[in-house]
Amino acid sequence: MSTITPIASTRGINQELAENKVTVEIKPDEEKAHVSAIWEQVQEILNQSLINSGITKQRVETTEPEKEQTSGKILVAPGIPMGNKEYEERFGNIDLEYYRKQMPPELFKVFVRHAGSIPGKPKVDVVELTSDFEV
Amino acid sequence: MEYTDWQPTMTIQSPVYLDANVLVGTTVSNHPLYQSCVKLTAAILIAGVNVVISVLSLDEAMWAIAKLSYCQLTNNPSKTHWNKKIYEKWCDQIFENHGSWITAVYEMVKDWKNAGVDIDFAPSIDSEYGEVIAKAPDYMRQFRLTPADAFHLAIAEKRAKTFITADSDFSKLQRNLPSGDLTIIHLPKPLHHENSPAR
Repeated sequence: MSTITPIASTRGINQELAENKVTVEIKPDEEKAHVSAIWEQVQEILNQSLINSGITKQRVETTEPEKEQTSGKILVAPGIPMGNKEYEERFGNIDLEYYRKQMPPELFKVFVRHAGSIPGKPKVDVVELTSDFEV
Repeated sequence: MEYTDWQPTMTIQSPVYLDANVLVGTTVSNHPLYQSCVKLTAAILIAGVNVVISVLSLDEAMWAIAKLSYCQLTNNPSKTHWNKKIYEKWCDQIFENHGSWITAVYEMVKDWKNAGVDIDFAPSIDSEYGEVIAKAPDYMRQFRLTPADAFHLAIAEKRAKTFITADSDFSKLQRNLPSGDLTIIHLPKPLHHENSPAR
């Protein structure tokens, strides 16, 4: 069974234990994509460990950043990191937060995965390109 | 039928048939119609309408993106000459440099469907093929449309209430709009660069 008691002791937070409080700081793994479901499981395991160890009945609150910058990249949706330049080109003038609120998470994810995924140029004419099929 | 330019506040009636230029326009960034295409597709996805796609649109999209790859490899504009012979000559380089681009539109549509979007492919049954094939030559003659455009219009008329396209050739229909309840929504080129956040 998992427990965080030894970690709490070695970090010297006995004063907090005496006050029936535990501070837990969790930083997302910078190398991996963030998945909300996994994040929720981490939080649940920590809370269950605290309850089982009898340290506290207080729930641990951790937060998953919505638009986190990792290694200079913007996390547009879970598993979709994007460099600043690419983000500007694809979504610089688009209110993605509005779409994030309006679409179910999985739909938003595939929407941002594909919108503007091919780097074009200002002089590209998509009507001209698609019309060539006809001649 | 009705013909109108697209406005962001417009109500779009389901089912919606998407022309290849809208699908390509959403997948390729930076071009003048990109923001309009993204706003439009987002509105369609949010509205939860039935989206109709034809194999003709996917075929056109693949050909268009193969040409886009050629244009970028050779630094040519979109209107540069492009045909089967040029494609065959450049095929290896296109796939070597931009292989994943070729199926980008199909992958997008497939992922939309897997994420719950109501997508149908048309024509889907023999009787629909028959009606579309019978109607397309009429539109070719009546409106001087190319065979591909005539097929898009016939498929849209058969399966959708709304046909969305960026191709201004369909404006020819305004002279003598055929009967029926199809609305053709044209995506116009922006007069200037859009700088405000888009919804």
